[in-house]
Amino acid sequence: MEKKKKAQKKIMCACQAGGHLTEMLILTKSLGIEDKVVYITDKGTADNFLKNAYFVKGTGKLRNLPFDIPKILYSIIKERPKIIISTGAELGIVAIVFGKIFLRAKTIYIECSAQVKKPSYSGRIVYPFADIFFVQWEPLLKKYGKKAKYGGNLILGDV
Amino acid sequence: MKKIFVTVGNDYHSFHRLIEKIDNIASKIDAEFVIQYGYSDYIPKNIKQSHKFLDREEYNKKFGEADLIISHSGIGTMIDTIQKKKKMLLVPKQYKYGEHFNDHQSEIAEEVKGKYENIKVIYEVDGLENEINRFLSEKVDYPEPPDIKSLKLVKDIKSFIDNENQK
Repeated sequence: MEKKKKAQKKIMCACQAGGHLTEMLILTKSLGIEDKVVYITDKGTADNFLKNAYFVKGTGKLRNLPFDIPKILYSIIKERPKIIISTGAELGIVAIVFGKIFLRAKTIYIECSAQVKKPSYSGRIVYPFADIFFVQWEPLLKKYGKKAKYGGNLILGDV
Repeated sequence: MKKIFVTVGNDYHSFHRLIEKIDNIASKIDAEFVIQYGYSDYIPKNIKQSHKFLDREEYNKKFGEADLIISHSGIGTMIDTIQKKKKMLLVPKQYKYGEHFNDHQSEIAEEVKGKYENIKVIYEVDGLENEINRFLSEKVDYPEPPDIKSLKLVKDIKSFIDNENQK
């Protein structure tokens, strides 16, 4: 008898616009899930091509965070993702931390490849809440705990 | 005529050092300029095709048509350059000029420099005009873009998701 394939669990991808989003889109495309996930990102350049997405003000300005947190919370509670993926910055912190606490979601964090030598703020905060934690430069491994893994770089490939 | 596309990313720190310089030298260079100046405090006066932000489609079109990309050292632009095999002149935003909150743009530029013949890095904009002219006429090899699907990072995440889907 043919084994019945189970349905894809809902995946939410949360990250800041710009390079974080470019990396996220490379990742979801490489995973073959780019059209099957829900995105949360900053309002701006992405809102006319990302179909299934929530938008916040964001874009690295901390003063937007008090307005953005309720929106991020609303989106994750409404969508109830089983898996949350982030490639970084404030928005990703909020989604991963709250997703872990409230929804017990599985969480995947990939440190942005812009972080070559020093851990990012997002990475440091998110680390205890991430089930899977990747850095994109091998020397960064020693700045994090045992959970951190290196598995290549989304710009340069294997370096 | 050769085409040059200038972009300084999505970050809110102004990069007027580069935008102003390019606006001032553009007329002396035999190329058509398109510029996305983002959050620059300086708005180009001389370059006609200047935009705060292009929408994604238009951005990709201009990027695709360009013979040379001039950019801050941002991840997004770098990925596009490598994937689309373009010549790129990187000018990292620097902390000492108040252009970013740290110097990660220089760190990543140093890592990429030397690995890709089609990517050049300059830190100061004084010699930009010569640099552009030289680079435009130079013949370079474009390395194959990396096969992202084969990375351990992607494979591990894929198997993690597949595994979750089986639960």
